[in-house]
Amino acid sequence: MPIVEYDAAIEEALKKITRLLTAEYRLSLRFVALLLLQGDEELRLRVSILEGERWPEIQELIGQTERQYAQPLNYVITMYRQQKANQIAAQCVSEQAKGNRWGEIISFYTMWPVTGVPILLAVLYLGLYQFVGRFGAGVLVDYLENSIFAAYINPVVDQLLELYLPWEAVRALIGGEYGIITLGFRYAIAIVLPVVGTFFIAFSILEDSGYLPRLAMLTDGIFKAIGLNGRAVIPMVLGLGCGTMATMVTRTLETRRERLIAAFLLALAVPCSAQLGLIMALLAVHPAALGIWIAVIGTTFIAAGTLAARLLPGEQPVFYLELPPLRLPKAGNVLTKAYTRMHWYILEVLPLFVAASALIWLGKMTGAFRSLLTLLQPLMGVLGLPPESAKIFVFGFFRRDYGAAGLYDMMQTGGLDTHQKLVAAIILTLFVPCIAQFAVMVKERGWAVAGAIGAFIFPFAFITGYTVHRGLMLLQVILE
Amino acid sequence: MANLKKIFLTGMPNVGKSVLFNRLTGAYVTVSNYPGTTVDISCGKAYIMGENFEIIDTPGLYTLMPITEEERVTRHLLLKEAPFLVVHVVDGKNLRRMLPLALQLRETELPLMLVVNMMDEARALGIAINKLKLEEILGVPVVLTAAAQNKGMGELRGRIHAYRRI
Amino acid sequence: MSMFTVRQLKKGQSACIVRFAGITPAGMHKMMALGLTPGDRLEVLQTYPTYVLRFGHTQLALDRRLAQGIEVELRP
Repeated sequence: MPIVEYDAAIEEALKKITRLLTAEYRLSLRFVALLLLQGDEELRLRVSILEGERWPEIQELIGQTERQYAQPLNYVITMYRQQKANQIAAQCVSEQAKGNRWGEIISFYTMWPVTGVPILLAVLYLGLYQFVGRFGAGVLVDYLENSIFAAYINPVVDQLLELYLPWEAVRALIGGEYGIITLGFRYAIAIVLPVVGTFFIAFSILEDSGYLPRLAMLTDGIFKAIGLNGRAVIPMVLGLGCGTMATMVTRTLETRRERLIAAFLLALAVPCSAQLGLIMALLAVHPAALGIWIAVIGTTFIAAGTLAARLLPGEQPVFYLELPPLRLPKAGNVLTKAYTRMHWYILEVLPLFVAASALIWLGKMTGAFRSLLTLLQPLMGVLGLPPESAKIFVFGFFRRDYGAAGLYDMMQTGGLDTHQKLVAAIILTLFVPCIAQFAVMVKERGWAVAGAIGAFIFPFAFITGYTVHRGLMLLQVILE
Repeated sequence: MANLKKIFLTGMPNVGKSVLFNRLTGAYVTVSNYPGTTVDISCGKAYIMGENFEIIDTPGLYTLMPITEEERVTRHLLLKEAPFLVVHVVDGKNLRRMLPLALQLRETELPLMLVVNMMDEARALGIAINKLKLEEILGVPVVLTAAAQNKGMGELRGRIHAYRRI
Repeated sequence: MSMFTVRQLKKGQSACIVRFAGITPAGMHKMMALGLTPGDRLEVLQTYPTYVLRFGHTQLALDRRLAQGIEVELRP
């Protein structure tokens, strides 16, 4: 006897359809017939091919059955299944009302705008600013960079090279200013990893606690204005960690249009954690500059999103999302999740950083790097930046975090005033999605879309930087 | 891994499926892209009572008639790969809501085992589940677990080890 | 017994789902897959910024448009 029994008309149709099915489906024929009745497009197509001449008869049976009901068959069949489920639940589940009051109360406050918004701000402040910005990008980077790399690894590498490798060219590949170890590994491990690592820990805590769906609910209205829905908050927040990973996650959005808008905004106006953390760490001592940076990036995000939503044809998305209960995050789960992401990130990042170092080395050997920098220097002049800052943007083209690390390096060694730091930070944030993110965009959205996004963002970043630079000059704003 | 018996983990989102997957597989996990799509599938090896199994964690789904790309991929996987066993994970707090999908899987006649997970939370809410009755009605093995607490995992392994297709 | 849509319900009210109206078959399929079935009771926990419904031990957030598509009747 079948586990779920339907009414006479459906059972009759099932019997007749299963008799006509001759191909191998791996699923029971009864279930194949049910899916056909429910209107499963993909399966209908497959059966029509596999069953060939028997398909018209099957189609006729489906049509006959459909006509006997006022509601779609999918609805009717789903209702029978639910009734069976109710019956089973009544026999197997017993319940005494006992509520998890605390969880519910906290859950309510995270979603009620009056308290939800302050809670969100507190989460951003503690999680992003304090933990990722101050602790990750500040304390940890400082330690790894100055106490490990600058104090031990780099000098030792350079000394060893000096001793054992007589060829200057090979030495420059591994050590020195742009070497694979002294630049590539140092950027990846000392500057980027602590920031991204702390971000992934913070993100995994939020994920494990069940807070993210509540955040989606709270921000649905804002995301609707830019052609998305609350669900998009998850890739967007993840984008504050790594744009490349977030662009991959945009596939959880339901429509092509939403995936496109999200990928575009991620490429343009969502700084990744390396950028965010390092820029916050660097501009924290200049609150006015930090404020302007936040305002420019925020305005760009909203304006670009609104415009994209207007220009792209398509349906307004609908929002629905299950809200799992809030629970205290478990250290084990959080660490596993953060570890999985960091593992992916290192595998993704390290080869690129190494390749970038090698490429720059090659460029230096052939003189191409110098010519590229020379080529960019007039542009730096227009933006009011020192000529050497051109290299930050060349770095940033490989990966955003690479550029951010370069910016960090340059700001540490001085040579940029606050005004210049701000302009460089703005351009670098908006600047082209790095090669890695661009590659993911191509993979997910195709060449045409990725190319168009790149072609828009590239000039836009520099024009915005220029506007801010000129604006500050015209208004005679002097940043401390 | 090619000749190992394949166990598919299926279930709706938010049922603790990935925690259960991690408990079963431990450290050796590979994440791969499902060919032709962009959905990630996690695969891992589980050593259960002297035998290695390949565990495949499928993307969460609400129905076997797909709505999203993820659901489509899960169905394709189930159809293509000839599972030794489908371990379907449901949330003990919401059994009534989750049963329709379990019933659909039952209707497919794929080899099926039901894991009622998050029993710690269910019990805290005063919910009790009659496992034997559920097994009798569904005609498949049922295991109650709280994977986050590592509870019931021994029984799950035992039932997987003992599983024979009827 | 009068008919309402979820959108007309106030916070704290509970009602029985009667049917889905004015949403696409795909939308209806989604709602039912999520576990909203005619005959079931739901309670409105929140109406802003989106609706939050509780049915069984499940909470679901959904926007105004979907809330408009769920017809309910108030029954004690």
